[in-house]
Amino acid sequence: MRLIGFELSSMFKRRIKNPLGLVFEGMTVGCFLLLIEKVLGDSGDAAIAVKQVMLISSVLALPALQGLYRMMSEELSSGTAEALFQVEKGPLYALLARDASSVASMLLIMPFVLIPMRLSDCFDAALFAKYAFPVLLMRIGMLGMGLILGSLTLLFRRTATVVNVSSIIMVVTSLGVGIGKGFLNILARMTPNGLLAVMMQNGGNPSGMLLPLSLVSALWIAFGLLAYNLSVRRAKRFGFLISN
Amino acid sequence: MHSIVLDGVSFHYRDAFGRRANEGIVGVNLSLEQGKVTCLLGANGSGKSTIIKLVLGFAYPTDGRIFKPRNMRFSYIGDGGRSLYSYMNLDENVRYSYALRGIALRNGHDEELERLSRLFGLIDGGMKVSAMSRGMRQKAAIICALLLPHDFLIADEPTLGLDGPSQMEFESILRCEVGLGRGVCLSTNDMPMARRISDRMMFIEGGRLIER
Repeated sequence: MRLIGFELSSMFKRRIKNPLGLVFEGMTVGCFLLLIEKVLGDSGDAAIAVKQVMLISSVLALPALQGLYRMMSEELSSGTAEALFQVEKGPLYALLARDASSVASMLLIMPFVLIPMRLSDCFDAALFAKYAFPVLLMRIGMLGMGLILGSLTLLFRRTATVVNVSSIIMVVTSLGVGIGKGFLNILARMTPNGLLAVMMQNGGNPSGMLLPLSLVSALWIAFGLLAYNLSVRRAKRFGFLISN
Repeated sequence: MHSIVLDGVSFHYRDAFGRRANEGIVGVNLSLEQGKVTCLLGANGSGKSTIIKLVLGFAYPTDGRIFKPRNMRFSYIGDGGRSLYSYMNLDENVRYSYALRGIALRNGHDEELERLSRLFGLIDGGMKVSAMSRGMRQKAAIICALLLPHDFLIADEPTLGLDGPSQMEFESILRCEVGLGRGVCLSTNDMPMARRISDRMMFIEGGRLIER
């Protein structure tokens, strides 16, 4: 909790120092939402509003997917990983705290997302509240996927391509692109963001999404922790945490 | 008094596929005691840092075992202040280290930080670590390590880049640490300093302990 408090207060200080950045980020996300609306012009207002929620949820999930990768690649090269690994499970605590801070940071930009949304014909703010819990569960599951990507980075270092491709796939899948029927549909249902996208696209009720999303997310978190523990053990056996 | 014992410890660096990359240390038997300053001396690449990182738990021995008390708290001074976050200032680095350990700042933290900063002539004025010179970063790393609760202070080339007066202050602080019953282990190439401060000197060559 202390670490989360530290990260949150640092983030607020950073944001207050640069309010224009906050406005710019919010407006950029808003403009993307408007762009989606223009691209999907003939899909119907309700479908577009759902797609807008799907895009926001994928943007919100990006830091979860990339968090450990960023931490490992930056901190192993700068030498600060030594500070984290001095504490047992230090990187995991740091990851959770930074993730909480990134969620809070996203919440801070939301008011500025609404400025371009005044030009929107389909935007429905109530939908964001309606899907808040499923999106939260999806995001927790994406942390598990992020743990796996970060674990790969710990072992192989140069994993930027894998992480970037995974992020693009996640955003595209979140928008429902490529989720048809058959194999891709089954594959999508195995990932938290894909499952959420499939269910939202099919017009599912948010309360009905909670159980399947909880199961899939729990599974990914378990896989993520397993991969993290294995990779840390291997990294310590092979000397990857020692920076001379 | 507790001690850390390395019993026939060997370590080999490997690549991502498990193939041997280079030799770290071979068959090191060593005991680091609380209440004493132990200096590890040797040429660059001899294995001093590897021993230190093994003791800190950044790596597991390939062979042999390391015995250390379960609840022993370490404080670590990294080479050149690299273990400090460059986008934070010294105070934020200390606060982050405390938060990471889940412990509250001690009473009088600000005064202690100010006292140590004055002692080392580090007038940072909230300067970010990235804006500090090498020597200033090293001083910041020393202050950060000293402010953390610890039973054992471990340092890797702690005096590199330090000016003369700061080095003398650091040496006297090490003696104080020992006086408080804490253990100190440091790797250095500075033989005169090692002679002045150490209770035990260990020489390492080619990953092997050659003399006690």
